[in-house]
Amino acid sequence: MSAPAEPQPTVFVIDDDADLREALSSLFRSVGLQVKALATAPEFLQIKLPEGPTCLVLDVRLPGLSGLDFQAELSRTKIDIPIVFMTGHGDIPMTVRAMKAGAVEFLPKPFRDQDMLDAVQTALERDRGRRKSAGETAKLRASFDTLTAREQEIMGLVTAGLMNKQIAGQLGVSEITVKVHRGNVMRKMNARSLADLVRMADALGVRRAPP
Amino acid sequence: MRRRAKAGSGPGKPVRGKSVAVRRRRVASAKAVRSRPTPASRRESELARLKRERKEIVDQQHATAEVLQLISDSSGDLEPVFASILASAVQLCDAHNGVINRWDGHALHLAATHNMPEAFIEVRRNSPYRLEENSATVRLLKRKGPIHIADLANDQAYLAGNPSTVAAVELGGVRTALAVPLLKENELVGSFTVGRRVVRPFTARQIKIVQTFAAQAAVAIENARLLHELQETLQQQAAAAEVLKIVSRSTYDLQAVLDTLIELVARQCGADLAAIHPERSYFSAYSIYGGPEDHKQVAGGVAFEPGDGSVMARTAREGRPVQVADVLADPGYKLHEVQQRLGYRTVLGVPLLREGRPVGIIVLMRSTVRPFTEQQIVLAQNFAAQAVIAIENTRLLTELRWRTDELIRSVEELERERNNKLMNLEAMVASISHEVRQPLASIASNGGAALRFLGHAPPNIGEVRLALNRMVNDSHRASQVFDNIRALFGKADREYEPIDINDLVRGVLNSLQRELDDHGIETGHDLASDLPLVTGHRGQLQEVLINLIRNAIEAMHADDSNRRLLQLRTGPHGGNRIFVAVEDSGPGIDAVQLESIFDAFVTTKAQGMGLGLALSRMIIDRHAGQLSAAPAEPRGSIFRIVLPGRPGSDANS
Repeated sequence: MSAPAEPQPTVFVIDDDADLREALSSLFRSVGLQVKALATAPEFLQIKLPEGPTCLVLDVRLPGLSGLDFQAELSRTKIDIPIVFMTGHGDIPMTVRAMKAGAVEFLPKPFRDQDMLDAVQTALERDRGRRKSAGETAKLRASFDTLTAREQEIMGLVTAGLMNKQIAGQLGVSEITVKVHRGNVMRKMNARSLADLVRMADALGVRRAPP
Repeated sequence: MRRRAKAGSGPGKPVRGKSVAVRRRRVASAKAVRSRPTPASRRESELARLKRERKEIVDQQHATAEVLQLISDSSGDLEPVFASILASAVQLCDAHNGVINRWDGHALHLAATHNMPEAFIEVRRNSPYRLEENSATVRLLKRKGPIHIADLANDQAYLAGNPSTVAAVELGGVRTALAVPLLKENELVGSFTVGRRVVRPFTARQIKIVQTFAAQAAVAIENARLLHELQETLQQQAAAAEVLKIVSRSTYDLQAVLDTLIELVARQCGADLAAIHPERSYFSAYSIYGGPEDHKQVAGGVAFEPGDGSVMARTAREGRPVQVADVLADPGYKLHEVQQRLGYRTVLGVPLLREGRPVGIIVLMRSTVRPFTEQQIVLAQNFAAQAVIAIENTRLLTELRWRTDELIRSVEELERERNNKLMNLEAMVASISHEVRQPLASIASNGGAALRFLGHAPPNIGEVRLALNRMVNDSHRASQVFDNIRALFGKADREYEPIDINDLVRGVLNSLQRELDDHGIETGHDLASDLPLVTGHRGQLQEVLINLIRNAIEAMHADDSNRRLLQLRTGPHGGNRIFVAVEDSGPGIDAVQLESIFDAFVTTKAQGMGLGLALSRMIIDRHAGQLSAAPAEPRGSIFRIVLPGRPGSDANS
């Protein structure tokens, strides 16, 4: 809804009750969301996740594997997707466990349709944010990869707060050479200032420890 | 002299007699000095007489003091006291011999002699003086005063041939005899006699001396009696206190109480071996004391056999103490083997009487022939009474404890039943609410969707219609939940009928065949014939079975690694009960969860109208059966229903 270029968000519904699956699908479609409804958790693991923001609407009690176990399973396999839980029982300890493990919302059945839509919007927003920061880091990584090995080394030392003279001494090159490399780094990384470069070095994890 | 005897005869104060005697001696000396103005010869002889008399008095006082000292030191042992009194009396009165007899209410028994021949002693020991006899001593007893017979050989009793008088004269060699009664508060307790082998009557002074010694002998007897009584009372009190202590300390352990008790009795009564034989119908603890290591085994088998063959049997029959001085000399005694192995001779049986009936017997035994005294028998009877109290006490307390336990058990039972009912109710409510929440959530979602599709421009009427249709279905589904529940539980009790469990299993398998096929599950069944019918609600039992099978399907659905196999079995379960087992090849239930799976909130999610394990268990409970879960081999779970069979019914299928 924010960026016009953004692919359509998708809501995954997992519930073994076919009636409820259809009802939820209809509800999400009515607000223009794409829906994929599944009867069991293992089916979800076989699906390739779409490009756009996604979230999961999940019953805590699934046949075989419980919703909470599935949540743990996802986090183990590094599938980072926000989850909205539904439950048929007022099960407080389970709620606490789910929220601690990062669930967006825990809705007891029967829930208000608006509460469900709000929870899903929050979940999608969270996924969107995650995707954005993941995208930025990927861009930085690409720029960093264009640097020569020496330039990468000098970027680490500069952002650690070393003077050109110190760097030259440490690498056994002239101060002029350091200046040239440093100019290249600023340009290739598209950094506006030293502070900007430090932030990038932090995001990439290439900043050397200060002397 | 009479007064002096009195002064020394205060019962319980024998020691004071000594100082009294010393004072009298001074008085006597003063008297000797006063008689003076007489002719020389007369004075001489008078002086000699006075000297002699004074010596006599001094001797007598010495003797008295000695006797009193003896009495106070004797601690109840009369023999040395009597010997000393007799010796003193005989010597001071210039007699030859003397006898002390004791009166037991019926006869005079020989208690001590001085200077009497053995033959006389033997005769006298075996024939106590009896009242009906007309002997000199007996006359004396009747008079309660001294009798002085100058020549016993001329006495009417001797002439009449009275045997004891004849013995005195012919065996004892007595001619002149002086007999004085031993009195206690004017009651006869014995006699004191001195005699001479020649006919020479005693002087008045000598008679008084004998009376004094007789009074001392009476004091000694009383003193000894009191001491004895005191000792006995103290002993019994100590024993009683000990027993009470044991009884109160180990109330439930009768064996320990009786073990201690028998040891006490044995010690107090001077028995070498002892036992408490129980009348087994009343109590069973069998306690022994002393004897060889196998005493218990040897004598434990001896029972209350009626007859004359054992002291136990005789005691049981008589209901009072029975003593056999020497079992070897008793022709009726039959327990020869036991006797040989334990080696006892004298046996005393004392019954434990409860309401006059013997409930056990204390048996006291001595390895030599040495009968128990009257006092020891009384003591043993006291112990027997205490043993009965201890036994009764323990019996009552045990019964009380048993009843208390019983009460606690039934209270716990009630509590459990109540909890079960509450849990069942909770399970029911949870199940129903779970069943209803599902369609309600659908209705809310469909309603929200319909409203939003209506708000689209243009309104998406197609979607709205679909949503509304689903809402209608969902409301039917919700009300179906209640219909089903009412069908299951409404007036259920009146719909109980005889059911062939195998038919029920086949029917349910048939109805679920498609579902099983859809999940690729193989089914097998092993149904026992000749099973009794059960009484139950067909619909409810079907529901339970459907629920268990659906559970199995779900369990195997989550697990795709293996061949999926569902096994149904029926069979007898002991005591006219039958079982139905539903076994799956799923991943199984972990041990921790085994019991909690039946709780309301742990039910696996129900599909359709599955009521969950909690309700299944509730239904089986209502059928007086059990529903349990266990791990299967090599994997999977077995759910087992046990139901009572109809009384007297056998299968007909």
